[in-house]
Amino acid sequence: MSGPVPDLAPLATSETEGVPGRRRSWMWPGWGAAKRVPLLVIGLVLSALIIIAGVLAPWITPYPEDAGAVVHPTQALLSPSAAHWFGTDLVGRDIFTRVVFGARVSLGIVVIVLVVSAVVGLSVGLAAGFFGGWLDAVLMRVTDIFLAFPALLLSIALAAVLSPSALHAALAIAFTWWPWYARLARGQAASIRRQGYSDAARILGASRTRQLVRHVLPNASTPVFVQMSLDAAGIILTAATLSYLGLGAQDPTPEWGLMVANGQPLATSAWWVITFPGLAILVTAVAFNFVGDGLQSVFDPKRGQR
Amino acid sequence: MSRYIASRILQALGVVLGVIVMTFVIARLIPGDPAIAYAGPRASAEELAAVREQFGLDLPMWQQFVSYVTGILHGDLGISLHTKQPVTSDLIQVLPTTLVLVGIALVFAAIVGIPLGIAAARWHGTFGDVAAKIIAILMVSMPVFWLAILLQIVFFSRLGWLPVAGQYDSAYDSISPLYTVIGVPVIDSLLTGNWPVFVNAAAHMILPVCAIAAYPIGAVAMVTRGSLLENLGEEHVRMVRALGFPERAVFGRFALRPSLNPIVSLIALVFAYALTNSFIVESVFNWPGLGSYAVRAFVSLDIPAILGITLMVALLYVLLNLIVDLAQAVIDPRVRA
Repeated sequence: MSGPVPDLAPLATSETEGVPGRRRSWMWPGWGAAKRVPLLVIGLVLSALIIIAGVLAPWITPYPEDAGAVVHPTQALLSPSAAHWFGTDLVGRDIFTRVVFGARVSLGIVVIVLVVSAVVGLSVGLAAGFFGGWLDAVLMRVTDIFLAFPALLLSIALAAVLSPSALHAALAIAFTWWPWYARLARGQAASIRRQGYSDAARILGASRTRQLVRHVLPNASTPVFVQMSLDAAGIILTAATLSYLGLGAQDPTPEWGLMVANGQPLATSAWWVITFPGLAILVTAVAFNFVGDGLQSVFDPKRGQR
Repeated sequence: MSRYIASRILQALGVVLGVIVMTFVIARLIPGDPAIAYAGPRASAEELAAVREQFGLDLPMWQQFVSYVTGILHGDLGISLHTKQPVTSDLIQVLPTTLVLVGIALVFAAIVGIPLGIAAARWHGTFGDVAAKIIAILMVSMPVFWLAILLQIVFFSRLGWLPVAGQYDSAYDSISPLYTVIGVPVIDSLLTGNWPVFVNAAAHMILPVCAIAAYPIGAVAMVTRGSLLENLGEEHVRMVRALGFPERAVFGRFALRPSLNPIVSLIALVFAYALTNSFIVESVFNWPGLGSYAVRAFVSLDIPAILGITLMVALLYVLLNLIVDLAQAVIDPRVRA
């Protein structure tokens, strides 16, 4: 999703008013910001660790074959030990291995949901905001209908009627996620259209495509990117909830929510079966929320902490 | 003002129509054959044909849509494949107890979350603020099904302090029989002055309420804090500060009031979230409400029930959003513009 470095005109002016010559870089707000928002740094480090662990899962886990449909009846429900840090599950698979592999599944779902809903949401929102008129009215009424459903409920209902799989769960979540981006992008596009530099581009004879690609898209997408970072945690939780209900990833996929569901009947005697997968969900969601919250306070200081 | 109300109501009606179309479309997206789902996989061709005719599945699409809409207008949401009862009567039966549960959880969330947010803003930048923020983020990051199971294990299996299943112990039926008023034991026992059952039913609510309230507490605290901080930066509040008003008055009289609006607008969203989370919490705690009914419907692909639940919750949500918008217009004249 990397394009030309967007020109942050609307955000930058409010930020740097009275500080001539100092403009924020889009990618790196500087160490000062990092010191002001320690949670952002913690979140970034944690998220990076989780992503790296997921990517390197086959090489850093002690029993990579346990991520699949293997059975070790003699090793069933061993409590945590040096050989099995997080213990073993009902069929004797190493839970640490499965939790690390689970990062791949969850992060994969997050990426699918974010890409699909950002593409759909930005397209709908930009079209509505940039062209205005009847197109705007129609697209936004459709968006309103989607927003009329509680997102989690609509995802559950949709995932229930599709055959259960991790991909279908991701699509069901994306189906309820894009309207938020559409609404955000529309508001941005509509306000950018009324900015001076947008008028200037039009007067200088820039084509509609050029205006849209060069001015509206980069400026409208920054808030969407910030929102996406805020949403990653919600997607993790929604995906875990769907698979907990049996409406997402299926056995033997090492999915965290599914592992909690499978371990639930044993939870009173074998606490580790549900504790570690659940902790993985919590820690990942916390890490992403730290990042999202920190980015928001860096990019939108009025709403976040100062 | 009346113009605003009228346009807002019209808008809501449009959304309701859209919601009905959407549930119908979702129902048609289903790859499986609903007749087979109802009659079972071993049903003969004649049985399937009979089921199709009974539910109008053999009619053209537009006729099915018309009968779907007429059905809804008459309060008919079809027959549940699972309970074989009308979905409407099922919903009426399970809804009250869930609304009581979610309502109590939301009140609890407001009682905890708003002061938490105020405290964080009041002592902004201190260790307490950071701690409050971390607590709030932990609350919104908690997978609710996991929290519910953990609460169950800790407070029931390990400590044995609190009951974990159902609404009250049926053993009380012989000692102190419960008279049904609205069908929610905790309310019924209160209204009929049945103290033993009330205490027991209230104890049954503690854990589910905590599990459902986690997310709302975090969300309410974060929004309260953010909106207070934003208002503290406003000219009028800085002016009041500069004039030497005590910090108590700056908060209580000047910053807090305008900060309440974003919290009010959060109600609908948090309600929707809490209601959907109550689905999971109810099924973990065996709570015989909408949630358990819904999870059963979702898992067993009970299409009429799924659609009925989705439709009803969406309608509740639209209605609540409408009420919130109108309430805000009354509180804050700027909204009406």
